[in-house]
Amino acid sequence: MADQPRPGTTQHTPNRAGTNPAQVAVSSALPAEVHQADENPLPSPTLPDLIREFAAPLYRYAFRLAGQASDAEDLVQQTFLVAQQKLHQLREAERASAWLYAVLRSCFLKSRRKPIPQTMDDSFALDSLADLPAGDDSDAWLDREALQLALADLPDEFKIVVLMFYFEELSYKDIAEQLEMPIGTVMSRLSRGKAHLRRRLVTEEKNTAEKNAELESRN
Amino acid sequence: MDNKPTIRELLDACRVDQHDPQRPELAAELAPLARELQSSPELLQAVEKSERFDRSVRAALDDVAVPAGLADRMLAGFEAALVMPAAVAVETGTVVAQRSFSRRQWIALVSTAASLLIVLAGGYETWRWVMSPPRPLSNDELAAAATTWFDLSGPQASWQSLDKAPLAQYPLSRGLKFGPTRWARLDESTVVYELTRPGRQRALLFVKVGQRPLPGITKTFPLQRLGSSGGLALGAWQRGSVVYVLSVIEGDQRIEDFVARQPEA
Repeated sequence: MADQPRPGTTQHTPNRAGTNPAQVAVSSALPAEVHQADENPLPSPTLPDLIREFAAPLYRYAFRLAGQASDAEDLVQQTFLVAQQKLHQLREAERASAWLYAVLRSCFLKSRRKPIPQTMDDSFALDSLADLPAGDDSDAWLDREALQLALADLPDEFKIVVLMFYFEELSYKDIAEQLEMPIGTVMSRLSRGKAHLRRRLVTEEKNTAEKNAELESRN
Repeated sequence: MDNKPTIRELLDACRVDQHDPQRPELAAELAPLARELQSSPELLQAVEKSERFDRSVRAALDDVAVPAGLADRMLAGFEAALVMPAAVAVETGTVVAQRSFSRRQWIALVSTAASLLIVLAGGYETWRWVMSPPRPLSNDELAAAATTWFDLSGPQASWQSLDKAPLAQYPLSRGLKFGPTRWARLDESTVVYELTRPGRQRALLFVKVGQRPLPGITKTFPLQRLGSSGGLALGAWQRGSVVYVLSVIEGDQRIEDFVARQPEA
């Protein structure tokens, strides 16, 4: 798995932060005429600008990755430290969000210190089409703690793919490019990761419903 | 993985509201799904359910309480770091620059230099504090030292399990409600105990052992609040020549949650 942000991938759709996730690239990755044609480029962001705008969304991403508030804050701090060192390479403000997400992801992977073990994909079963346990209206709102528990069960190589899909809103193709993985592997991990979340969240929901029913019957 | 993806995998690869099967750049892999969608009402139903689930997960992922003053603390930290000499450029991604060191070596070098600078600054302050004759210590001085200790207590600190903690030399205060989970040495006379509770923001106890009691700090429990900003609450107290500084990031918790008695007004 690559441990560096890989700028210059082929994403074409903006993510929730309103930026193009693939435009993580340093400007040198673009043809010179693109820069010349851009008559009104946004000014390059400064580190304080980035901190003010992105500390909160980066923290949310870090919390979901690391699972601990203190680790999440350390990760965000580390991300801005790296950003400070490499800021000269970010020349277009609209790329900042995706770039920072990629830096944070890279910091998270490095914080593991050792290579992520490659879990056998078979250990997380796929759902069949008919098997969509968490598809009814009851999942309109999911408990954030239950979701965090379900994420914590996922090995890092699954969690990274799932969070890149949901949080960064990258397509499977962009995920494959950024992680330097075959598309089939990304699709498999994404599907198995989502299946695991569905099963875990339904279990949590059932347990809660059973407890509530038990309490009601006692009363 | 050479096997062809199943329809389930293709369906799970589609993002909500992005019409991925219609995107030219994704069409190659998603074509079987697009074909099936035209003829299978069951599949359409599965897509709707899957999208509903994805929207719920996306919303729940965003539902994270951000610590109060997070950006302010980051800004303060980086303003302090600006006194460092300009860091050497490090290349990312596809840009490869001429270099004599690897990227990891540069990062290690910069990180070491930054840590050294912080340690030297902290050490100098500590040395001044310890070596100078006892004098009334202002809240600001102790708060500044505690902020430095807080910065030193990140992942780079040499955290160790509690069974190796020097509790005899650096005793814990009996006024604390929660026990520590790990500890690290910050300098010759100061250690930090981690009091962070699961799922909560950071809480640390600094224990500094001096030669003599310091005038100016509340001698016994309960704690005396120190001036601080950016969501970081500091409180100090002293028992004999041991100075305790409790440092808590407030937001979903308060510094008073960690002490057995409320501080005096």
